[in-house]
Amino acid sequence: MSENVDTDLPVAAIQSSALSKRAPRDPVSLIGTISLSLIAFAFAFPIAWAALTSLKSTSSVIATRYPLTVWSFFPPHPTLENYVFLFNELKLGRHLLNTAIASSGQVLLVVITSTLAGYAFARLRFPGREGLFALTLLTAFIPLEVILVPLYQVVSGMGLTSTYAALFLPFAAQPFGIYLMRQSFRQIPPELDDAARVDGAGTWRIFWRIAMPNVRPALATLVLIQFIWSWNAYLWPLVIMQDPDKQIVQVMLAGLKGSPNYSLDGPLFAGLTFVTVPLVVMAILLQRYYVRGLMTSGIR
Amino acid sequence: MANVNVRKLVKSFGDATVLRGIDVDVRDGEFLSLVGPSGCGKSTLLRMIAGLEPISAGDIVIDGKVVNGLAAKDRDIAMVFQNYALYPHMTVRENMSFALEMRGLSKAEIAASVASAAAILGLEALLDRYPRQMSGGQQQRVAMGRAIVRDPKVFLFDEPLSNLDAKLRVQMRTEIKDLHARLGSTIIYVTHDQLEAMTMADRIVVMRAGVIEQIGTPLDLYDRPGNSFVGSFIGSPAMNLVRCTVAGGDTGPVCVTAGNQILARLPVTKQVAAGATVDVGIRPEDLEVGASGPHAQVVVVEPTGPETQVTASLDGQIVRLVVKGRSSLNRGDKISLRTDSEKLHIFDAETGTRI
Repeated sequence: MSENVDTDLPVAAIQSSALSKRAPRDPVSLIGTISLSLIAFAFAFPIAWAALTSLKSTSSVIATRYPLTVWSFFPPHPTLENYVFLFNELKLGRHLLNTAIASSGQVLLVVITSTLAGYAFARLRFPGREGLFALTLLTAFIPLEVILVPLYQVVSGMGLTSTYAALFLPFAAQPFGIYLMRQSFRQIPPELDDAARVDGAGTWRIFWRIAMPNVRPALATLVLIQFIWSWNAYLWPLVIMQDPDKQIVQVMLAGLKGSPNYSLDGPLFAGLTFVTVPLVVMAILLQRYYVRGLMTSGIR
Repeated sequence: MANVNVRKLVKSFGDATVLRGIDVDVRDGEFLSLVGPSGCGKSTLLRMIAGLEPISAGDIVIDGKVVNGLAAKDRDIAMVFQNYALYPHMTVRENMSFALEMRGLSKAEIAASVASAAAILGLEALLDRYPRQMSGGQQQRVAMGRAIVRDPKVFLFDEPLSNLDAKLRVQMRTEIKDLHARLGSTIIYVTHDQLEAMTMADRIVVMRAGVIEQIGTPLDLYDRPGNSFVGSFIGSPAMNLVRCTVAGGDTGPVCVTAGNQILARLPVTKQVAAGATVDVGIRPEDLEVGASGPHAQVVVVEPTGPETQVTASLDGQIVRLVVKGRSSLNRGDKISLRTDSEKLHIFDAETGTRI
């Protein structure tokens, strides 16, 4: 008899928990879903509008602006002419490549400096470590606008004006990146370092073989944030890049808006839509890393 | 396999000295256990032997060679950590291969060593799993596998069983002891659990506050504790320490409790002046319920099956006795305590030293 009771109980518990999962949502979660949908719509709407507008001819963009009808949003006669114009006449491909070079350089350098400095601040013992880290963090509070002129003078003095390196070299060390990686390295249990030392690994090997693989989520976040930051850069490239052929795509697109002779709204929207694509792709590719929790097991 | 000699070892962190002149000789093939309460310095000592903690003064000698300045990787030791410290991003096979890879062994040699260590511990089926895919017991076994695969001179264990549940702990205890018997390796094993040390070790080093209180075989420490700390630390339930005054009785000196009851006759071999205050150590199994003797009142009765542990109040001092089999005692019962004076351990009340 008692055996029956024992076996029945867990089954009943499982069934009831399964049932509760299938039960209709409670009002609170319904409100949550509706709010999130509204927020998502508010964020997605301008991008979707820009994407749809990019399929209109410039004259159609201007003609359908007033009065507001459904054709203000949807293209009456979808066309790819803006994209053709962008790539053929405005050499968008060239400018995209310039941006890609600047962003890759930026991401690569920041990953190298942030992981090395972050690891040192997190794991190595040396005098002045905390003070140096605080100083590093302080630099995060200096806006680019404040140092724009001296930075220009330094880079110019190095003879780097209008070079690709000038686009990313001044931002090779990022306090945010160093902070992010330091926090992440600190999460790794120190026993892993001890175990690796006993196993025969030196500091460099511990960094490369043990620490780095365990900070992949933070690394993905760093790559993504740096890529977005650098992909969207505007002010510095505008100042330092004086060769129009090497100018990045954002500055080139901003130039379209100020075109004095005729409106380029169609190509502008097409350009804006196109430069958003790499960011979306990056976000989708890396999201599984940065949403995943750090360091699941191996340590109790 | 190797001897390990620790000579006058000192460790300080700033102003705080955590080890004060430690001397231990671990013999080739010996299973030596370091026990003591938290903060006694046992783990620090182990980490210093491992090369993970610098030495403030003294020497560590492994296999006849002073290793003070030698990095952990050059000491030919293997360590098993309390939280296993398995590399989370590596499979069991990779975890076990890592040290061999660092030594520059060929792939074939590594595969052979891993296979043989896996066979010793029954890990063959787990080789392609990640640590997160295994239970605590399995992770623990892999941590041992990672140590065995290197065939080191000395194995160091830092409280390896403390994260396991009670049942698994007993099982792993047996396995480690069996492993030691099969491999014949030198093992230094840190634990705060005296039962682990008693059941596994050839010799035990009892530490407190950075000094060694006593070194001996488990039964040596149990039968002849050098001081009241060792007496109460080794053995479960712990030894009773009853504060008494020595008085001259009709048949020789006796121990008188705070309530003026005669606890027992002093053993004839003990030379204690009348009027001296002593701590009388009585193992719970050496204390019985008798027809006459000092009176105590039962506070708690704890049946464990084969025996019953009875806690009683003797003139305000708590004493425990172990009664074989079942007991009909209840809370509040008045009992008389009886003990064999030859089984008493007498300690100086002030210094704690055995008399």
